[in-house]
Amino acid sequence: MICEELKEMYELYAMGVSDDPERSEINSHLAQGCVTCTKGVKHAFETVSIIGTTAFDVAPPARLRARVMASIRSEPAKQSFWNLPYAWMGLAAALAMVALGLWNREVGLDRSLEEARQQISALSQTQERDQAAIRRVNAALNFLNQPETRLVTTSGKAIELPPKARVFVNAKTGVLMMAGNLPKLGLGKIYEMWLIPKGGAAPVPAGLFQSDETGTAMHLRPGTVDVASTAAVAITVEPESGSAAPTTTPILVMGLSD
Amino acid sequence: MFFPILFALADVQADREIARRLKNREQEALGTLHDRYGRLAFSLILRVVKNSAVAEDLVQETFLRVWNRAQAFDEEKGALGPWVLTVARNRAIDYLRSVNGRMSQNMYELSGNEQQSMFGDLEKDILNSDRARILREAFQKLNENQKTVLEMAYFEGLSQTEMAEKMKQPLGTVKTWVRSGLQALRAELGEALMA
Ligand SMILES: [Zn+2]
Repeated sequence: MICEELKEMYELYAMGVSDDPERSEINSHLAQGCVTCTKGVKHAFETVSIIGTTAFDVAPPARLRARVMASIRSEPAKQSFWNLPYAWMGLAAALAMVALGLWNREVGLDRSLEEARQQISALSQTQERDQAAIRRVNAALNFLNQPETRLVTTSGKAIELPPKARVFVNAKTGVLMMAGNLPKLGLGKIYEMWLIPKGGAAPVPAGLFQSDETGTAMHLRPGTVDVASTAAVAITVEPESGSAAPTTTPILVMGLSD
Repeated sequence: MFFPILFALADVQADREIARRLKNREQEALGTLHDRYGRLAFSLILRVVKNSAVAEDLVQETFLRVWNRAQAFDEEKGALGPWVLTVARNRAIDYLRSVNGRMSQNMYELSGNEQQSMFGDLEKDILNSDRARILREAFQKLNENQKTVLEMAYFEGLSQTEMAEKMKQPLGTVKTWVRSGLQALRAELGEALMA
């Protein structure tokens, strides 16, 4: 197609909503350094961003700035969930009860949450506790407490003394995995969680974690989750620095389909 | 009141300074950027997701993303505003799509339009320019159908095919509304400004 035929589509293109064949055509014009289309699309980007300013003006809550700043101060984000103080074990138990409450739906959720809160509050008062751990537990609690959070699946795939996991997903806030019967890790090994996209794309790393002596573990991958395009959550054993792509066969695979 | 959103009169010089500091990893610069564009980003995202708590999360994501990608920004050239707004809108539309289970079959990969090169040769503060004012006024003068489809494209991230489905209108009709709406905006801007 010639530039003249594409002109009408520049704005839709800039909004990411143009259809083919125009979209592909504009892509190739831009890729070939077409002067007319490059100029037109840049112009369209500006036009489109101005449309963004027609949204009704709403002041954000004052806390938002602090949240934004906190999100960069917590860099580097390379911490493992179990990189935590000792008291964490009690909290894990409390959270397991929370999960049980969710599992059984009708019973115990509020009480379990309350117990977990009390433990957090006790924890907060103890000076040597790691603030980051408390934040993480709070994040897990908030996660479990949201109505959108739903239980995905219960069983793993191994054969003898099979590892088991429950995975909770929340499109807005993350994936929480609680696992039991995990195999003992050799020295220098760690568990790594993966989000497996639909359609065969490469697994996306979703954080490192370890289990306790009894083979139980809990791991939260905070952040938004594209539930619709995620096929499964998987766990592999990896070298302790973690891997960019799985290097072993998963010990657990939990499908996200309903 | 529909357009009181541009509370701060930004100037390019200030944006350049912020961009330079962001590239130096000066954390306070992100606070300054938020002071400048946080409200605009929040209003835009809220318009898309219609949930204040979600909007807060997404504003946070937006600024974190800007922080992580600031290295690529050329402070000698553009204003940061349109870039921040694009990132904000993409976060919001991504969210909407994932919630609706409507991930793109044929969708343009949104993050592709975050390439800063697309905002690289802005010579002035576009969001506060005359052109912006004219365009916003022109936008209000569109007829209901024209305005609706352009808003659906921008604030809901819908393609013309998806709009036709949602509005239960023939695709040709929707395309006509989109085309005539965009033409009306371009006409108000005048060809001189296209140069
Ligand atoms: Zn061209």
